[in-house]
Amino acid sequence: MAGCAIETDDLTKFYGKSRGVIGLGLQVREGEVFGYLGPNGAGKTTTIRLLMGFIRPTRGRAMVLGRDAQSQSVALHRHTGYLPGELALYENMTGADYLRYQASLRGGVQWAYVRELASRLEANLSAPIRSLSHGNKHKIGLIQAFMHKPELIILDEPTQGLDPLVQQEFYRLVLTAKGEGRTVFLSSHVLPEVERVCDRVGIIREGKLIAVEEVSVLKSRALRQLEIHFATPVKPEVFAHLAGVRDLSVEDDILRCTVVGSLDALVKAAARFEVVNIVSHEPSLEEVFLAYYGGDSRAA
Amino acid sequence: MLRNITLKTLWDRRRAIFWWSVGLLATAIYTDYFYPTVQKVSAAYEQFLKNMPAALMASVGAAGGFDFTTPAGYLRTELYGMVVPLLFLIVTIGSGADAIAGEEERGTLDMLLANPVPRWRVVLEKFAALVIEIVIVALFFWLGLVIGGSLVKLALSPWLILAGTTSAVLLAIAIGGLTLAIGCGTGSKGQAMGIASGIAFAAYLLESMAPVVRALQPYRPLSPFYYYMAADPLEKGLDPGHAAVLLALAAVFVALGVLAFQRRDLAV
Repeated sequence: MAGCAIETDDLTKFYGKSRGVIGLGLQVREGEVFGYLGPNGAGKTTTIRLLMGFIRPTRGRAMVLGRDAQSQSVALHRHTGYLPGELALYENMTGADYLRYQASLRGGVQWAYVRELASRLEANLSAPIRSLSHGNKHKIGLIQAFMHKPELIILDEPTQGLDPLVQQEFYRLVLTAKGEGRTVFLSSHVLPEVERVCDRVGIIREGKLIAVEEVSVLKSRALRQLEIHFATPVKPEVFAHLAGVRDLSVEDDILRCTVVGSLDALVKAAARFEVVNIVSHEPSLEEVFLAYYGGDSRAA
Repeated sequence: MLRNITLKTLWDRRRAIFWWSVGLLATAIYTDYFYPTVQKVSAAYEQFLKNMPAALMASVGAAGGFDFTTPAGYLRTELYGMVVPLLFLIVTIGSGADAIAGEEERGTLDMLLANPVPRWRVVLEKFAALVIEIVIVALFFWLGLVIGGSLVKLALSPWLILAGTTSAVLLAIAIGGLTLAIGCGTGSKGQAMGIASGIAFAAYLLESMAPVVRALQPYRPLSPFYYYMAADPLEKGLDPGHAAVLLALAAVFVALGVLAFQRRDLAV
């Protein structure tokens, strides 16, 4: 069995009066893609900075790749790729000069691989970084995180500002890394993104790790708000007892409900009528938390 | 090209280094150029200055009175008493504050330290860049004095000018090291510049007022400025003991900076 790429024990960080993270017991397996999900301000960035050894824990410890994140951070960084949430690059350099500089500090980077990553992400390496859009700067940060083929890649909100096509390419990079047996730890506040690439998900809220789930489990409990517009008015009774349908309301020809898990039963029932439009809302994280972990009565 | 942190830092400062070099070269030549004129009127001028309050004279670094008659006296009065340390300190206080605290405030420190590079190495490489920067700028200043001096026949050996300039460089490196260390501890560029400038000014006042204020006399060795000019490097050459004190100060400050930075939480 694979060991742990990241293992924290009672990892706690207090900042003055504001909350940091409290008593984290995270275990990320080698070779998996682990999503670290939580709303903004929940403590995701604090956790990541503890794992990188940039800040010191108030108590507890973090072991990353078998090394203490605090005392052995230099050795650790040799095998780790990192993308911060608030990325700042040297604005006066071009992307190529910037990456060459970082690569020479790190050592052991294949420039051909940097070129390959740049073309996959469609990154502009020849323009001064100050002239790039937020998304294009982000691509350079991503290349820096991946360019030395690290054993562990730690990414704080990696898809911020990337356009959808580049996001797809990013997901492919993550899956390639996983295919090569490397570990990816990525934070996000967007549920579908995490579902898309991760094997397991840790959910953090108000500085506490409240659940760790297989993504398949999370998907089976996916919560969607649906609105179906019919050509003619429909009767609520037809839909009332379908599997997974909750909070049903029907107003003439518009049906609104929340669906847990598969949409199959509802879609098949609706197909008997003329459907004009289906509007689906991904649940906000808050709704997911409330539904599953907040002790709310709607919990599955 | 930019293989390490020192070279990268110097590359970032290349324009500043260029303009400081040009400016100080010009200042040096320009000051030399007035030497013959000032020398001619020096008797009258000295008479005039004798009537100035002693404290005022001290505060501009001329407690012993102005001495225009010798080349060394002229350069000390016009440049080395106040202008040279002031300008050199502006250079090293700026670089020292920017070294760690500047990168931290701009947010670029995260990506730098995500490399397998220990924090102490970042501090030492940044300090090396600061030293190289002030040495380059000071060499141009020295060159200007030598060129200007040869034009107006200011008879002072280039080696003695070099000794005085080196002493100023060592002072600037010590205060630059202090600034760097405060930046390492606080992560704030403003605090580093403010506190270091305040300390430097207090040290300057202590050394310049001591000849006038008897009570300050015993405390002169506390001021880095004492080791800069008290041994009169422009006439007697660099005093090895005084130079060593300034170097040791720089080393202590940088070591304290490393210790503070090594143990500190980095700001986001």
